[in-house]
Amino acid sequence: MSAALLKDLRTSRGEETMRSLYRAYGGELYGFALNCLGDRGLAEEVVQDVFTRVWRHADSFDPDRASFRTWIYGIARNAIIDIERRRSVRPRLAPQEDERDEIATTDNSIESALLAWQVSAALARLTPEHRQVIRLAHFQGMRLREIAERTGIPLGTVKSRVSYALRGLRLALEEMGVEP
Amino acid sequence: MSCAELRSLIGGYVLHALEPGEEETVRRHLATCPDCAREHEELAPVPALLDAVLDPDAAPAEPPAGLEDAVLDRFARDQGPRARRRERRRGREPARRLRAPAWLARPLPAAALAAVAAVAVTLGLTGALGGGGSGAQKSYGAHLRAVAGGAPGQGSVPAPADRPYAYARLSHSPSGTRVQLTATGLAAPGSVYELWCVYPDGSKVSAGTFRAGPGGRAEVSMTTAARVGEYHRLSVEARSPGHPGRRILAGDIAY
Repeated sequence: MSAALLKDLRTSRGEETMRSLYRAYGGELYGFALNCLGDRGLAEEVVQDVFTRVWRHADSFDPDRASFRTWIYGIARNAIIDIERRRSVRPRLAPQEDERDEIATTDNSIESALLAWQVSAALARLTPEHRQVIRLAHFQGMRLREIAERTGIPLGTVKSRVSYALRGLRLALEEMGVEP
Repeated sequence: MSCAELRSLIGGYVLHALEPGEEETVRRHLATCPDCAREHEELAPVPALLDAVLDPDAAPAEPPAGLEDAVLDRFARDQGPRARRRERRRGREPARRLRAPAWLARPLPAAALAAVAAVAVTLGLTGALGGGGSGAQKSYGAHLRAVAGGAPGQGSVPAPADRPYAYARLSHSPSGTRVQLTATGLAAPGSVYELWCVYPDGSKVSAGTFRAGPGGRAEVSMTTAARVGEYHRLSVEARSPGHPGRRILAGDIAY
């Protein structure tokens, strides 16, 4: 779908196509950039940069090599790295060593931030009931019996709900390009 | 334990939230049942991914309402010179495209927004008369009336000031349609709306978003890729983050 949209960018429907792309990916890219950079203004800058690069480099997208989502997140990652480097420019005693370390650290932190954001976004797609049992079981370390006692939900329902919640989460992650 | 019983316990098993006796029963079943073992393999990596999240209830951040317009504005500015270069290579120069300047697309205080919107309308009209150099252009009008308040349609009597009402003037543009929209009776200043061109088959193309100014008024100049004559109706939707648009105004175009 998105590969076809990219071709439309060069036609008279370009603006409408760009709007469709923004509505499909703008929100999550903004959330991702904000998660990485912690600054709303810079996150907006990243989103604008990403869509500009998408438009300018539409020809380089190869659906056989990567999904559109993977491609656009690759662009976002590079835009964030550019901003991080610009933001952290400072004098160094041993520039080469530090620079290598810093690039590696930046890359790792961006990958971690991307994963954290994707899992958060996948959790947000679950129903409140499914999110609740995951929060109580995983984040608060409660046993299913304790969850049933705390919430008043029958134990059998809690058991099946936790299983459904995890399957739903796995599916949401797969749809976002995360292979658990 | 049957496979169906095990499947309902498998979530609690991978989260280590079962009672010790149940956990042991599940472990023994998985060792002998390939189907259930596959199910376990699929869910087992999920808890490690959850560890990447600090707050499971944190709502994903919503982008500011003006960001979409800013992206589209940059696209239009970037596209303009490239399109002109392509056209020049083909031996013809297209008419200059009319767009709101970048600063108009940024979020602005309501009072400033109303002021620049008024200026934009003036500039838009000037551009239409002088920019193309092709003389007078035929334009069309549409009265948009509150959807909940009876059958919307064309007419010449404006709605009362406290109810939403809008008048749109449409004219041809090289890239689609130029729209001059004046709306009154909108909600609080700063609230966001979207104008749509509606086709006879019910499909629609956006003409862009705008904000209400002081007193619930908006005067905006917009450009859409939809072509005059191909759609027959306009509608305005109220927008809020995370919700589908709510149609508040609609009206037929007097072609």
